[in-house]
Amino acid sequence: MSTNGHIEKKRLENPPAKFKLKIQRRDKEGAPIRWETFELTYRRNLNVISALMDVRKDPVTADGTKTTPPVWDMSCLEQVCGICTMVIDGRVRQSCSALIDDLLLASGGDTVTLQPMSKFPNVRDLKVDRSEMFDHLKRVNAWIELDGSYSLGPGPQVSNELAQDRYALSRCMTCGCCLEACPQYGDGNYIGPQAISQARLFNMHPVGKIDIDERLNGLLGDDGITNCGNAQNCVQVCPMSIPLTKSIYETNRDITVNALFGWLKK
Amino acid sequence: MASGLKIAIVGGGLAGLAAAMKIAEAGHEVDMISVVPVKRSHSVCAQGGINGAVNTKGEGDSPAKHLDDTVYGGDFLANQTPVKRMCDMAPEIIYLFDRMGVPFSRTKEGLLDFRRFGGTLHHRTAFAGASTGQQLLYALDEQVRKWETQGKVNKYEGWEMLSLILDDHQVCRGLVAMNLQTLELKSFAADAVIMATGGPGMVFGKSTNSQTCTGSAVSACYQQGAKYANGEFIQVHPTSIPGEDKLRLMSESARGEGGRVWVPRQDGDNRDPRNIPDAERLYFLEEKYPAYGNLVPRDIATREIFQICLEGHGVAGENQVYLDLTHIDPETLTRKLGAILEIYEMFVGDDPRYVPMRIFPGVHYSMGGLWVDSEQRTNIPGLFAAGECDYSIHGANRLGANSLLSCVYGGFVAAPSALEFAKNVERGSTETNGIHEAEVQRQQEINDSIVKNEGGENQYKLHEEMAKWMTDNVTVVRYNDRLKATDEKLLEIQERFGKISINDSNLWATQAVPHARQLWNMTHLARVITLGALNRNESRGAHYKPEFPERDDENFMKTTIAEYSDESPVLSYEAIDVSLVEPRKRDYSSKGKAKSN
Amino acid sequence: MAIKFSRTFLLRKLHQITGIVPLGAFFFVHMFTNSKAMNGEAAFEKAVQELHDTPFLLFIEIFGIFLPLLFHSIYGVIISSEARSNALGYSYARNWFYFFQRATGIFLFVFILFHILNLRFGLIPGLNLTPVAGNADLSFNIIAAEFQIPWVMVFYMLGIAATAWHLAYGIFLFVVDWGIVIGENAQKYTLYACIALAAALFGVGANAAVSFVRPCGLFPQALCEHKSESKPVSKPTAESKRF
Repeated sequence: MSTNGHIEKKRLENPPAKFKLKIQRRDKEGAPIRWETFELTYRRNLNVISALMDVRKDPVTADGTKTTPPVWDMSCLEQVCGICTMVIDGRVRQSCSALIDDLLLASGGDTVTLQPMSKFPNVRDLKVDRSEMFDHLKRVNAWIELDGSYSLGPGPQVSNELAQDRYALSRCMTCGCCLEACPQYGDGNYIGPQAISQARLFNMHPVGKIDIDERLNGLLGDDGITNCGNAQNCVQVCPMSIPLTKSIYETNRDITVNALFGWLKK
Repeated sequence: MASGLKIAIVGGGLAGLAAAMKIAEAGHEVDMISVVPVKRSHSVCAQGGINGAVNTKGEGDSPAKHLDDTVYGGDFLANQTPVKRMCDMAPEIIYLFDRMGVPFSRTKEGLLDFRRFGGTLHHRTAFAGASTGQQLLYALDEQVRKWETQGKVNKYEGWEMLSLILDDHQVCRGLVAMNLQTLELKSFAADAVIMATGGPGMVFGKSTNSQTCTGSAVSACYQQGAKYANGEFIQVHPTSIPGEDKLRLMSESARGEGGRVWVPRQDGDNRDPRNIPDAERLYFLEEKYPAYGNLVPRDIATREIFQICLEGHGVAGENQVYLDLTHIDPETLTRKLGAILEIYEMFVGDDPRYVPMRIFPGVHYSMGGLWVDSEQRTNIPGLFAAGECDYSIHGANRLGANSLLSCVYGGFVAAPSALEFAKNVERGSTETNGIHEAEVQRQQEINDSIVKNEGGENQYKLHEEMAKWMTDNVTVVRYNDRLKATDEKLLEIQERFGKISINDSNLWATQAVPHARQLWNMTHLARVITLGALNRNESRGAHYKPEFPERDDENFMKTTIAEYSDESPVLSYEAIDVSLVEPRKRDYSSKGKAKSN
Repeated sequence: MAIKFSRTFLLRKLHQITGIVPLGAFFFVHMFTNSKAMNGEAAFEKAVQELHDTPFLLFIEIFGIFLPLLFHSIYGVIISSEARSNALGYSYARNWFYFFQRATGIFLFVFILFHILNLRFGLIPGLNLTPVAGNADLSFNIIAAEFQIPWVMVFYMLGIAATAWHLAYGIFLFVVDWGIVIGENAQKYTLYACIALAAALFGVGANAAVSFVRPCGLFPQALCEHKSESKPVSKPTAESKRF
């Protein structure tokens, strides 16, 4: 143990020989939900994805019934693509960076519970369809308008500070954690922090600013930014530590200045 | 015809999106087929940066020096003309990304900042935090989304390409893809097809690649007559974190800061590493290379770590050794290596400040890929390739921060090249009559037979078996007898493939059928890689044979070309264009220690 | 490009404004008036009478209180009905505040309806049938009699607490939703200030309520005595209940 204040991470001290994976299953969208429990051999390095891979290889439930392999999405497994997001022990997060050891330590039990995200159409088992998140990006014009992609020299000079602030927003991997945890998001009522923060990313850019009105318009609809309820769950669950709420409040200011009181400038 | 052309692009990573943007901008239409939403493509994983000799640091850097570093780093196996074009284009590519709003790190003056990277002495790498690939991909994704709203780009996300549609003259007329939810097959007619599907890391099971990097679509092209070049050149990163599911990169700076590599002297010593006394630890790098110790060059470290595990001395008998930082003050570690140590902690659960890390070399990148000419054309008319799935830039070894550049460059060249072809190709219905339906039919039959098969083989276990053979025998250190045995094993696996029974009775969104198809295609690429390695009796770049430790320019300064036949890949060799940089011996010890990620 | 506002956007902004300007301001005035009960019946009834003498009273009552309240409460119920509170699963302070804002809102909908019917109109059979409006001289005793009943006192205490919280946190929501307070630290301190305001408002309100059953409310009686204006003590009689 060091004396510099850094405390060594806790691990499970007496790991069980076996643990259970309880999975919410659904054959296809609209089909009824059922639960299945699988028993797996504990290994220290196991994350949720490798546990699921074990189940997929030989899908037999804890009571010995043969079943279909659970379906889930995965790609990079390094927590940068965002695809493997699901609700694990009641909390939304990426399954690649969820270690069984940590989960059992936190719950004190022998079972890890997996559910699909609840705010998106459930394709099958743990797989959901998040295409609405990409549609939202279209609505807020989340891009810089270029004259063309041919050679026109460098972009505008900007301070490193602004670059780093924008970098923090630009790390959004469209995983949907913020929307899953947001008590306002769902049924098309609210565009959500992800799209607001992406609009902010471009409104902060010296060239992107030119089209700020288009982006604000995308956020002033019936499902727009005013539906934010300030529960601030988004910023708590964001795996990339994006200052989502700051994006929301800065956009609120842009709207107050440019939109609500814009007429005062005329 | 100036407008109304349709180009199909397979893969929505950096190369595919770069091409899509150029085609849409030229006023034509793109059908983009991608297994995952394009924003989740493997390009997001690239950390380091993108090279371009912008020369903002007064170092006298130039595209010519970038060219020299690239072909030298590639051990003189790349055709030099396209490499030169890429290096010439690099600064304007970086500037374009700057204009798109990529949050590159800046200097005090607000200009782009550049850092030094592996294999060069110049500050040539533009970077955005520690996730440059993610940032570049997102910038292109945004631009392409804009074109999508204007109806120029149609995305088919969650579709996997199964095969090309070729007419009687072997001209590519489109492709067949499968909807991964419904398993519906659909033909995509196109005036040209651009492959941009990335690398084949999944052939090796666990690698640093994403799960989508199966090489399956490229293998389908190969099986339909496309040439596959330099397959045997697979880059292995010396220090990766072995996980149950994949290998994750661990920056080499851990060794740079004093990390010591060791294994227990006693095989199968299962004690907590902290309880193993110094005398019972084998610091094999320090013993074998007293001068350099743990700081031996990257390729040597890779081989030694690999070798010691192959001989069964790895920690707990597995493919892993300790990389130990625990003798260094935790505070110092936090200050110097904080970010990378957190990655280890996040995915392994142990804190490397107190527990020795377990690491192993990890398959990282394929220099080989579809053969293309200097205009990114494959040998099949109408079929183009760009990015990691083409072979053209990196020769026998890739330099850090050149991969992002080569992806964008490939896309930017492939797009006009495909349009040029599409403008001139005969587009009457006589050539294409019925061929789309016939190909869909053929693919449907393959799917049906996979669903019907009953033989007791498990596809995932079969994949693991193939991956283990490939990782053990066709990565860092290669012996001809083991390569031969591996090829025999691959034939056996192909044989057993016919006996797999998929274990999913629910075909909606099933992963079993797509995986089975990928597995079959992977076995073919595995054979190309293995036989390419077997035939190349020299050591060059990432390809190392202890029996032939020297580079042999006379016999092997040539591109390996594999062509499909029903029995075995047919190998031939093509001379290299070395018109710009005279080949010389590759030796980094005189050039100073090269830094890399 | 011209900016277009959606209906929801305008309604939300109106909801926030109505909560602060007419309603919040009214609550301050209301608590100030109530606090005069500390100084006894006469002082309070004088204050009520002064309110009754306010020029344009009906106009202010309708456009300054009644309509904003109607809009704020009905639209508030609509907003609350869209919430999917998950404070048990994601148990963060701000998430609980999100829940409380809606919970207090719904509670206040019931409470304020009761409060108006009870005291303004005197329409709660079995409790009070004398409207305070128009009967300033009876107001203290009507309230004092009611507050002797324990459940009424508890109900009012809850109502005051809910209003204090709802208003104070509502002010916080206003300044963040209008982009006035943005940064993490700025929000933290603003939130502390609003929590303090909620406590203060509750203190003032509770003290005023207690004043109807105990002279000088929660404070030592000596503090109020010299200010008390004398008025003949008269309990409300059956005769005085004219309705």
